[in-house]
Amino acid sequence: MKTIKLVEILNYYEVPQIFLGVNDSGIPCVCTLYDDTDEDCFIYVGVEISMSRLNELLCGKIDLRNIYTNHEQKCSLLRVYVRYQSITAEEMPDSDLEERMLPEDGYYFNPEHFVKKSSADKKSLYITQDDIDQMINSKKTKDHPQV
Amino acid sequence: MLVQSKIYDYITKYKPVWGFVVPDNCPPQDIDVPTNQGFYRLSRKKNSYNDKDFLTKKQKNPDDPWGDLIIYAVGLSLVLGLEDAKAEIKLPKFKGFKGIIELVLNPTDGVVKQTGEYKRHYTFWFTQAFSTDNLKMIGL
Repeated sequence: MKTIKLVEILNYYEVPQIFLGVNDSGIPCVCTLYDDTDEDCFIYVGVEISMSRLNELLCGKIDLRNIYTNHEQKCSLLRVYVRYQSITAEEMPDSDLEERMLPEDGYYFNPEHFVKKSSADKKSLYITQDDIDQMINSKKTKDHPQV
Repeated sequence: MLVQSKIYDYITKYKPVWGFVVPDNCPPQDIDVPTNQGFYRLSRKKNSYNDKDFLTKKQKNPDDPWGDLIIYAVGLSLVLGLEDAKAEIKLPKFKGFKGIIELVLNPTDGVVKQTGEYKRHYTFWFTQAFSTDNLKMIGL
């Protein structure tokens, strides 16, 4: 099991639907909720992602579904378990990826829809490794239900 | 239209009777008061909705240890635009959802606040005057 740290919630409706995390090795991963039937453990499909592809995703240049169905060669799919104050993940073979875990075609992020909390450049659409490091290290304010 | 306000001023002016058991510090101090402001909520059915579509997280999971987050759990999630709602339905969690409910909120309905890092998401704290009768459904 890997440990995932929450970096930012990218979509929220009732509970976090999509969040950006980072694994023990500092690799970003994008996690999308697909199973919340167990109140004590929500399950997300995750994928490790390079910074360049992450920026393409957050800038709305690539489809959310695409990062799972066409993930980068060296990046693993993950099954991510979110429990009260803990996020863990296990690698998932491609063959385990099911349609029910995936968003439909055509979900694109709009960078203007994020409240950018990082200090680097509030006008920049891009997220950097420094931004991620800073977000991880900064104390999260409790203005929102967190994962 | 949304007008920024302090909850104290809102309560003084409108004397709301909240539609939920009010935790401490809820709604939060800084809120928006809606006037003829449209919001959207997802529905399981295409052409109709029912009370289940308006259950709060607290109502769904009353025994969860909400802690400081209780003030959000007693509110309802809304999104600001129709396109945002249509995008939301593409997510795996909402595969079974087939409709969108349009709410046009006014001051007597309650107050809202943009919550979280996703700008299009609002939490809605509703009054007893808020009615879910005759809301417009937008099928997909």
